[in-house]
Amino acid sequence: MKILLFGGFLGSGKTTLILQLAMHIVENINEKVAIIENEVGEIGIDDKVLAAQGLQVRGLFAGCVCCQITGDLVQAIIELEETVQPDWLIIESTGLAVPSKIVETIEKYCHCYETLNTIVVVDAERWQELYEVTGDFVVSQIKSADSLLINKIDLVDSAESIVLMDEIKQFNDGASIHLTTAIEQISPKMMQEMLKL
Amino acid sequence: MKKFFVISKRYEYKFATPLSGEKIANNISKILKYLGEQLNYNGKIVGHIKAIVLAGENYLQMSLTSMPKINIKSDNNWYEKDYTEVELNINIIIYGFNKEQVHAYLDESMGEFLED
Repeated sequence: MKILLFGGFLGSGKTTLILQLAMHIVENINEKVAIIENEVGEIGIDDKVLAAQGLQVRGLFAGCVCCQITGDLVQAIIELEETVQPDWLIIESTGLAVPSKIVETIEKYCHCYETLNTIVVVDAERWQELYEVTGDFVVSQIKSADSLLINKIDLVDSAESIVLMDEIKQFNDGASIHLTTAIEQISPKMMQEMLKL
Repeated sequence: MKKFFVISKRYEYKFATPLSGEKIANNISKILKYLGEQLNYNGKIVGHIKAIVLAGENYLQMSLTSMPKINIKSDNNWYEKDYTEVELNINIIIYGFNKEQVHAYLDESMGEFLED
């Protein structure tokens, strides 16, 4: 089982990306996918959208798996590995999670996976405001990434997206960086990038 | 992280006269726009405002992160049907506002849902 951990601020486009990626794995690669959907609210919303597409989704609600319900995450990963036996496990963290903390938990308590990679989605349209208001918090998400997807680039001009890319690179120059517009159909090449890492 | 807070609310509605999927979508849009007007920073939501309406196998999801654009996802049949009973879930995660005030904004905005 290969694990892809998706992080990134609230509303950055994680669910939209995951939905397309999961459907790509199922329909084009013919492999099995399970999704763990973590939402900090007591009532799940995104899990219903993913499950409506026929995907295997396990919801973890009312807490963040990076700092509040870490045990629930470990239990969910082990259970899914034993019962569903997916080729791919996609974990969508809450927009308030620091993905590196989730990685620490998985590495420490789960021994049932082949690879674990972290993809962090950055909202190009709101980057300036999110950085101004939350500061180190959004930076801590970016620092957690193996791969960074700067999303919603259709909503900023090309000069702005280049400046943003350079700015983001300063926080994590080890991660690969890609520009996306998840609301449109993501290219097969981008899908492969996400799966290869 | 202490400056973020979460409000999750669930409402159940039964309508004497069925409401169309489009009418429900319009009313939810009004709720989200009203909340967005109160909770934005430079036109952006530092957090998110989300709603999902469930009616049997049908669903409509709307979210707002940047004024005034509302992102909408639904099943293929949502707009083809009328509904007499729905469940509405609203989830607000926001930075830098007073929680009681946000509850008050939400209560005020909910009047829009049943507006003709």
